[in-house]
Amino acid sequence: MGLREGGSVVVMARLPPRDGLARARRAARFLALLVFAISLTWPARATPPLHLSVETHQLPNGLRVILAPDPSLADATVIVRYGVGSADDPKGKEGLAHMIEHLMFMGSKHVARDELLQRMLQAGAANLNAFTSLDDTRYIETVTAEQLPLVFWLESDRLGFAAGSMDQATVDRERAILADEIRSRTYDTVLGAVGGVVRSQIFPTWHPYRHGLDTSALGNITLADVRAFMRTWYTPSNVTLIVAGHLDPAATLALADRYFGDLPGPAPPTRPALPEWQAPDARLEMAAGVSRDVVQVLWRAPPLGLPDDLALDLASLILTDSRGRLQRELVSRGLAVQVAAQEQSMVNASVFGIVALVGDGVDPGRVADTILGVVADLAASLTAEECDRARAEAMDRDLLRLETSLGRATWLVTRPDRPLGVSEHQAVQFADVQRAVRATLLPHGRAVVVVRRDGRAPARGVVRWQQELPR
Amino acid sequence: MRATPWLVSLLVLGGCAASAPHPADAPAPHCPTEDAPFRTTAPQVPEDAAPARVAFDTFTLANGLTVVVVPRRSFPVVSAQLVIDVSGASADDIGGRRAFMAGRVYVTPPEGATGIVVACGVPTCTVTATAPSDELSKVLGGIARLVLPANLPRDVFEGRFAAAARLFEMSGSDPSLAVGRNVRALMFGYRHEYGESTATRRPTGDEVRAFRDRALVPRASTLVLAGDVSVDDARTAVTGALAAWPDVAPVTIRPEPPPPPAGPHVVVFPARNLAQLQGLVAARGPRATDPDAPAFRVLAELLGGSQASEAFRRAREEQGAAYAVGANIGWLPDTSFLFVRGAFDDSRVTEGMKALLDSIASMRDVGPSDADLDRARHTLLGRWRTMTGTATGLATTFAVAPSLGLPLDHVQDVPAQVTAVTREQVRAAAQRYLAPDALRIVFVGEAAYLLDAGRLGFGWPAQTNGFGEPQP
Repeated sequence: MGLREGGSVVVMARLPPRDGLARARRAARFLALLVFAISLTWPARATPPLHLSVETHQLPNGLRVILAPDPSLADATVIVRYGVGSADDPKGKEGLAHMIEHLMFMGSKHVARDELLQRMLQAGAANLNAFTSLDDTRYIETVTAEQLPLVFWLESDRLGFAAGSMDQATVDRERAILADEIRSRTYDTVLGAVGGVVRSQIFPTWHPYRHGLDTSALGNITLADVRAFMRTWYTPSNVTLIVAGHLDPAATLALADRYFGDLPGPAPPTRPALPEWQAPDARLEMAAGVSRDVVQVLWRAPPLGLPDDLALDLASLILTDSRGRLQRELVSRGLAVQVAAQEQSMVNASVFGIVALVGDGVDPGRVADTILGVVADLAASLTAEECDRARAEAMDRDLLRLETSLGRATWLVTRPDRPLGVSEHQAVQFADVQRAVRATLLPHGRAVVVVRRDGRAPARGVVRWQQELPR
Repeated sequence: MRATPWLVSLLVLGGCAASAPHPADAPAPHCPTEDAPFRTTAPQVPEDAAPARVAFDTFTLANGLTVVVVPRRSFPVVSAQLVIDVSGASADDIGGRRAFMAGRVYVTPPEGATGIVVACGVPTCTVTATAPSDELSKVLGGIARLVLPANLPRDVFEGRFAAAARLFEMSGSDPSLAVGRNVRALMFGYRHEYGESTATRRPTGDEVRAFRDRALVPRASTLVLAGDVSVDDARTAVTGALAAWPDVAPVTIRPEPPPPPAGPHVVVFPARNLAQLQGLVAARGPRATDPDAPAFRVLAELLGGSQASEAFRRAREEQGAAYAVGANIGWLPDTSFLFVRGAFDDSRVTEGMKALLDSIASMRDVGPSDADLDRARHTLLGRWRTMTGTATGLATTFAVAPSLGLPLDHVQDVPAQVTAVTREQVRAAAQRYLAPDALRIVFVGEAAYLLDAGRLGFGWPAQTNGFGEPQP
């Protein structure tokens, strides 16, 4: 069956019994042609959309397979996405999802410790890595099509049989390495832990995104916790296997069926629906071990993929690309050294943030006021030229991401329902940006945080003190 | 899941067997295969074919600008990289400070020119842009705007000059930059062009103007266009955009070849507020044109290029002493340097650094195993395939060759060179370049810990600042 979406077609087919595979492949090829035909109907634009076919299948055990073949690429990227992330960490066990990501490289029933990495590298795997976000966990490798059987063998073994292979000594060692990673990634960066503290101002205490990146709960994680979490979440029906690049779709689907098709596992739990909530209105000042004073302003924004989420991508460019309003008002006038805005898109709620590194001798309060003034004025004074420029930039970025098999697989992992090669930003109009700014970048329900440099903080980015300011 | 012998499961779940009859239109039940042969034994996969040769063409404009075109027409993107060899114009330009200032004042686009990235220092200024191929003329126009002579209004010049000077001074306290600067200072001496020093007086505006006029010239430049562009279209577009770049004779002074490292063996830069301690072992290496350069490249890969490398294995997998462990090579026109580094908790730094040194000693004393060498070669080839699979990667690969004295054809030879490296060559490279006396160690981290130097166990260190200059 075909699901019409955004002018293209996403092929959705539950993988039939083996004797029906050929029929399903014929159907998939037909639908891929249909994708091509329908894509031709997109209106003309400066850079035309690409016509990249995508097949989506589902194995009997619930595992989804997404294939994006393109013989012009030299390699293929595999992403195994588990629908579990840091937001699913049990209370008091923060860091568990991330620790499991590490442990998944430590061997499984038929793959000895170190063997997975050694075999992947022997196969010439590039981009070999894994990531844990709030929403999901991803395992990534880029290889030639000839190496896909090996990659599927390794990935299926750790999906099916890693939990039983874990031991306490490995958990203890990875706990120390994870603490090192958090220190590297969190404390020893420009803003350090300040980013997490600021984000926590937007989400209520019960919200799973309030999760902080620190090491305090790592000591609570036991081997039993690891196994229980994996048995709950590391189950085929919670996995999407994405392969993009130089591949034969029929052969790759058969390989996926061979290696992943019989892995058993219960359905993952349904994440509880979150109650409605309003972002609190916060104005804070804090002192931290940062290299210079920082001003951050954050708003709660619409979830990933909603129209206003896309429109706010354009708003961020209008504010801070090289010709952006805040570049003119802050950087060109010497009030800030750097300024950046970003719509950080997430499944439950996004965050629209602006961060400015304050110039020498400048009052951070003045920088905060300038940011708030520019944002307050944005919807009313928005110009069509700004929108056109931002849309073209966003579309160019979308196009550049698709040059590689990794870029395509990443595109599909974030939003598998989104047509591959068709920039959704193309459809965002002036009125959409205006509406999104008016609905989201409000003068209330936002966190305004001034971070003052404090050399006495015990580590870079660690907050020494903070206080609420009058709103 | 409980382990079930495969044969037993076949007997118990007879309907799973391939030969077992079942209704034609009923779903074929999947057999549990936990211990099936295809699970217990890794699939045999063929060796990858050697990476394909990369077709390219070159031409030269009347003003001396060398243009390299690498057509890759399968995706509508084009990457442009302009590399200007500025080392010839900066014989006394310690650390490329004039190049840096000229880059910030003249070349860094203050507004517009989205997507163009500029980096200036010694030995090169590099201008990079990747864009949809139908924007090629826009990209080249942006580059032309950056390099063609411009009479900047005095206030604009002064404003940018002051900002660049501030940025340079401030960067002295940045721990992430301090690591690299201290390595260069140890390798080449902080007074050499390849070092960086605040001791050199700040160049004047006139010196920066003169530097720009002498250095940013077409005859010292190579422009690479890679991606969705034909040679004919490239010729037309480049001529339209850059033929007006005046043909000024480039200055031919080269930095003196750097002397052997003569400074301290261990230095510490006590930074503030770092949660981790950065430790690094470095040594000088061959020129990119030397016969043992391929072996040196493989040696770096074996030491810390991947998650299966020797230093990674020892420091992280065996000791759990660090999350981030790696190795890399910095190539310069007439030399190179290799470094192996890790980021450690204070309490693990000594054992972590010993693991890095042990990994180097192992390459020197024993050399790599056949399996490790083979894996390193495959890893490098896989990375090469990925790198040359994009317009930006292709452009970078071709653009760096001239500044290192390598012919453009060299790009074609890299995979074969890597494949031909032997264990003996790797060991010989380790013995030649990574002898104990040649190694230098840099620590950057929390002052309170580092200044109690006896704790480190690597001899009494010299103290430096963020630029690698000795401190009292």
